[in-house]
Amino acid sequence: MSVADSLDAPPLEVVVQLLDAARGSPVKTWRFVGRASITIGRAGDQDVEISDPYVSRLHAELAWREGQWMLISHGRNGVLVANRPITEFPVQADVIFQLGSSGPTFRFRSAVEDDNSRHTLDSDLEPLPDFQLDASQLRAEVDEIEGGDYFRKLLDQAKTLRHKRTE
Amino acid sequence: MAKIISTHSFRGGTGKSNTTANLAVLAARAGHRVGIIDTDIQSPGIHVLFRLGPGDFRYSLNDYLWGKCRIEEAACDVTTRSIGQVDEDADRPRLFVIPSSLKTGEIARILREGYDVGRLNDGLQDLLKRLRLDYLFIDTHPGVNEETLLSIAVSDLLILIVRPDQQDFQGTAVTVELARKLDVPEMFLLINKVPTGMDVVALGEQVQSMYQAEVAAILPLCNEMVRTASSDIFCNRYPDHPLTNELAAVTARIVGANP
Repeated sequence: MSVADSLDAPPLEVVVQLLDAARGSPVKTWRFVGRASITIGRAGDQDVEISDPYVSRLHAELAWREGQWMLISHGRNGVLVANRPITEFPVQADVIFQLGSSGPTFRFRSAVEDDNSRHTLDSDLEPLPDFQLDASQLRAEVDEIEGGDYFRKLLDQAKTLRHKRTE
Repeated sequence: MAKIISTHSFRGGTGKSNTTANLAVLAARAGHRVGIIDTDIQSPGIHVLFRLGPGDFRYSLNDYLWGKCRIEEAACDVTTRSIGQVDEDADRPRLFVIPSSLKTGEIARILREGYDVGRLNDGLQDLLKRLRLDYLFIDTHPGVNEETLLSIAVSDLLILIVRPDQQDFQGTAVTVELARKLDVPEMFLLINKVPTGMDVVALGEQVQSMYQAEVAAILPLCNEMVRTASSDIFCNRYPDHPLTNELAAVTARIVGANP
C-alpha cells in the first residue's frame, strides 16, 4: 500500500479481474476498498501478483488522482488498452487492459455494486477452474430429447398445462 | 395465483432436496400455504429432512400413481414439526409434504412398471386446488426423464442447482436448453456447495455467461450443513447462519411478487 492510500482515498470498492485469454471471462478477482493505489506485477509485494514471464516486477498501477482512476504503465513491455500502448490512461468506470502484447489481460472496475461488498480484500483466492461447455455434446443431447415423441407432445401441451389451474 | 416451483439438478448430491426443503420452510414461515412433492421416486429423500418415517404416513405418491388414493390423501401436514405450533384454525401458514414410498419393493415396482406421467400432472394440479396451496415445490429426480420434463413444463419457476463442477455444468446446460424450449416463465440458478477460497465473483460471472441465465445465489459448502447430515432443516437449526440468510433472500425473491 502506498503513502497515497492515507490521502483522500476513494471510498468505493474496486475490482481487478484476471481474464481468460480466449473467452474473456474472469478467472480470478481481487477486491479493494479505500485504496488510492493498486499495483500489478510479478514481484511478491504487489497488490495483484501475477506470475508470468512477460510481466515486469512492477508492471502497472491504478492510481486515484484528483477524483479519478488512472491506469499507469511501469513495465518494460508496456500496457495496452484496446491494442494501443498507453503511458497514463484515465479510467471512467471500467477498462480492459493487457500487460504487453503477449501478457495477461485484466479488467478494472470502479463503482462496483455487489452484494458481496462486505469483503474488503480478497486477494488469496484460488484461480477458478476453466469450466467450459462442450457445445457439440450439448447440441446432440438436446436434439435427442427434443426429437423424442414425449418432448414433442409436451411442447404442444406446455402452456395449457401451466395455465390449466387458472381456469 | 398459485405457483409451481421445480428444483432440479442434473446429477445427484448437489443438495437439491436440502435446498428445496429449506426454501419451502422459509416460504411457509413467510405466511403461506406450501407443499413439497417428492417426485424423486427412485431415490426419495425429502421425508428424511422432515423426519417422516414409514409409520407417519398411510399413502405415498406411489399409491396415488397406482390409483389407490387421492393425491391429497398422500399429503402429510408437517407444519408443527417444521415451523412450530400455529393456531389450529389458522389457514396460513401450512406446510405439507407428499412423500414418495420408502419401501424398496414399491420403488422397484415403479421402476419396473413405470407410471402414467399424465396422472402425475393431474395430481400436481389437484394438489394446488384441494390443499389451496400458494406454492408447490417439486423436488425432481436428477437427470432428464419424462417426469422431469413434465415438472419443468408445468412450472412457473425452475430453480437449477449446480455445484462448481464440470459435469454438473455440462448436464445443466441440457436442462436450461430444454426449459427454454418449454417456455418456462422464470428460471434461475443456485450454485451450491462452493468451497472456501473459490472466487465467487468470477464463478458467478462465468456461470451467468455460460448459460445466459441469472445466478440468484452462490451458497457456500459449510461444515454446519455437513454436520446436520440431512437430519434436520438447516434454517431451523441455524436461523442466524449466513447460509440461512442467503436462502431467505432466495425465498423472498420467490414469494416477493406473490404475497
